Amino acid sequence: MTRFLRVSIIASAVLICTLVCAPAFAQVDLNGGWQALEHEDWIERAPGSDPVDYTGLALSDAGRAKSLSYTYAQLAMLERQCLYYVPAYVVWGPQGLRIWNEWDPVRGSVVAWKISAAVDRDVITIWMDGRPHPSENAFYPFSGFTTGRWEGDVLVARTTHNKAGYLRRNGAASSDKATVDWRFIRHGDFLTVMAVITDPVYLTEPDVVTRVWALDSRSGSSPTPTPCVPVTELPRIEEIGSVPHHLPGKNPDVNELTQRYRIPSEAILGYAETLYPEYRKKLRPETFITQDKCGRYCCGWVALGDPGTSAPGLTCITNGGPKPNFTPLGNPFIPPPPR
Amino acid sequence: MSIWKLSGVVRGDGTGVHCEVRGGYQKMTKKAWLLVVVVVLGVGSWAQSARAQQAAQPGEIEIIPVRPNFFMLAGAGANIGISVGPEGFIVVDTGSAAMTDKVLAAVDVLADRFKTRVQGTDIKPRIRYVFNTSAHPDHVGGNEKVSKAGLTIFPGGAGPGLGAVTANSGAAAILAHDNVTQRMGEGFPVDAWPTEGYTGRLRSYALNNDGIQIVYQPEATSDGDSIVTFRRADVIVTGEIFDMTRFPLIDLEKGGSIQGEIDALNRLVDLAIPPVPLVWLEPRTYIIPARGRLADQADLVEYRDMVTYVRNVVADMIKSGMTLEQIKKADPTLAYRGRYGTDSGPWTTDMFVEAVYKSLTAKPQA
Repeated sequence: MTRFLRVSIIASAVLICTLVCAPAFAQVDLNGGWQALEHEDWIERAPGSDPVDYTGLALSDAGRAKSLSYTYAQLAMLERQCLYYVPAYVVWGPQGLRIWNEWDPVRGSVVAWKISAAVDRDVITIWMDGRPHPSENAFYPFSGFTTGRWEGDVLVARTTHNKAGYLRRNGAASSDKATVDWRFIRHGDFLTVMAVITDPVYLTEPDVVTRVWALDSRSGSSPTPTPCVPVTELPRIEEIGSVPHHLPGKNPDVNELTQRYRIPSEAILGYAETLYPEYRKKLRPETFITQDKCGRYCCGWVALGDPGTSAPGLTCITNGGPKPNFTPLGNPFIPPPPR
Repeated sequence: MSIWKLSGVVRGDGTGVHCEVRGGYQKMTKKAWLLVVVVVLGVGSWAQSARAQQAAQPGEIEIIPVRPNFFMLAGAGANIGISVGPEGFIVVDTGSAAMTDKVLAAVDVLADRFKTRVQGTDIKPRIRYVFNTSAHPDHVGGNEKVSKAGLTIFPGGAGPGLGAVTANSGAAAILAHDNVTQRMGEGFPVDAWPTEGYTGRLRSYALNNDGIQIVYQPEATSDGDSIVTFRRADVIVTGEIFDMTRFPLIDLEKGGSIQGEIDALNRLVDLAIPPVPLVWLEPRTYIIPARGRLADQADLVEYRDMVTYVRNVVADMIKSGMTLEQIKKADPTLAYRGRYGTDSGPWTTDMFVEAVYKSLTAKPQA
């Protein structure tokens, strides 16, 4: 064998191995229980966004129309009570995560990463074995279908086959044409997850969300969801065929945020332009008045056992009493201004 | 030196990419060897990108497994449901006429998979029954060829005389609501017509170890709609009533109505079993829509809610005194147009809105 051939064979072997084996070299360990750091966008994640709060979303006209048709009464429909949220609920739901991997028992390579379910979300399986995404005509499960690969220390994944659902619990719409591009980045004991949700039907620009979790060996996150049984909540809509919704132009909550926070309706309704810093220059003093004191959600998520603690830079209003005035959910309650 | 000469064949079959590598010893030059390396790496990269391929190309039939003994053929015009069992194939709808040869080729793929070997001879299952869910050409276009490719379950079918008549000349029987037969009298050859028409609410069959019911849905997309339920396989084939790709095709001239369509969707929601209470597990009713992907009750509820919403919006606009043109301009389908609507083809969004409007404003028949 000539020297040229020997060198060529070795070089080729290295190249082929790089092509085939690279993912196996660079795997960061994501195993463990991860506690949600709830202070981050906690209103959206914990109590849930206010009705018709689409701030930060670039909704299409169709997305806005679908979202505005939503009423919370849909949650009482027998057919909808046990529907899971879409996989992107990972970043806008409140739950902690349990992450584990599954190994090929022969090769020892990671076949899949699994992200635990929540009460109302399915387990997400990130296939790492190079399998293709199924046909568009195949079934779309609540978990969607996700494949991943390592780019350096970052686990990059893509979810397709999402069911129709929501971007927020207030009914901001997400279609079954949506895809999610994920980045899972571990920094020591912290895990950052970025989700880029692209929806050609209901978004004009991707919805980009990042969230952080902290490693917690005592995290009690269950790997599987809990069973769900529908019950009669509103007898009048138990009758088959009753579909609660708002008609166009008749959503009663459309001005709630404008009245409460003086935010212009165009910013509330999720126009792409309002996502960018330049939009601030368009805000007119008469349409946006910074409030001198916080009247709501100022005291942290007190349901988690932190009553009366103000959010940074804000004073917690206690309505003159020694302790905050709590709703049954544990949040300081100040009634919204009259419509 | 002797080294492998590689010739790569890469093909996709909808479920993945398969590589066949055939080898043979042959003397090769340095340049040829380096070329082989480049080609191998190139094919490897191509194969990686090919993994992202999704649905079959237009004009191709795709076999989607539903259950171990149940399949959906997508791409044939309307979807086709196929049950496999001791009797052979029970086929729900036959696709458009232009796709029939490819449908039969796909059926043959399944026949090859489910063949049994008896005394050294391969016995392939045959098509034994065809059910039609409507008279729409996308559902009945292949009736004649598919039926004739099958085999009657009635004895004496191949012989002359009365036996041939009662046994459809040996071809598989075709069952549909009697209104389908009436509609197919206008433009379809006799051999494509249903050989068994039913009237009333339903017909029930026990075939392929399954309980099969074909259930009439009056005044839905037409006056001939049926749904077909397979109780044991837990699969429902919906026909035109549920279409994952577009607004429902409500043909008023052929007896369809928006309220009948919604009633039919509500019956389907009732019949479909969701994965409750163990929502994350597999068991549930699978639903084969007229077109588009395999679905379950959650997808059906989304569609039912959409149709109900559009009906209510149009009704509200009518109530406020708007004309059809004003309603079209106001776009009552805005929330769903991007998902189910189209401005071209045989069933546009405007046609759907017009059908809803006319259906809601039609005077009740005396």
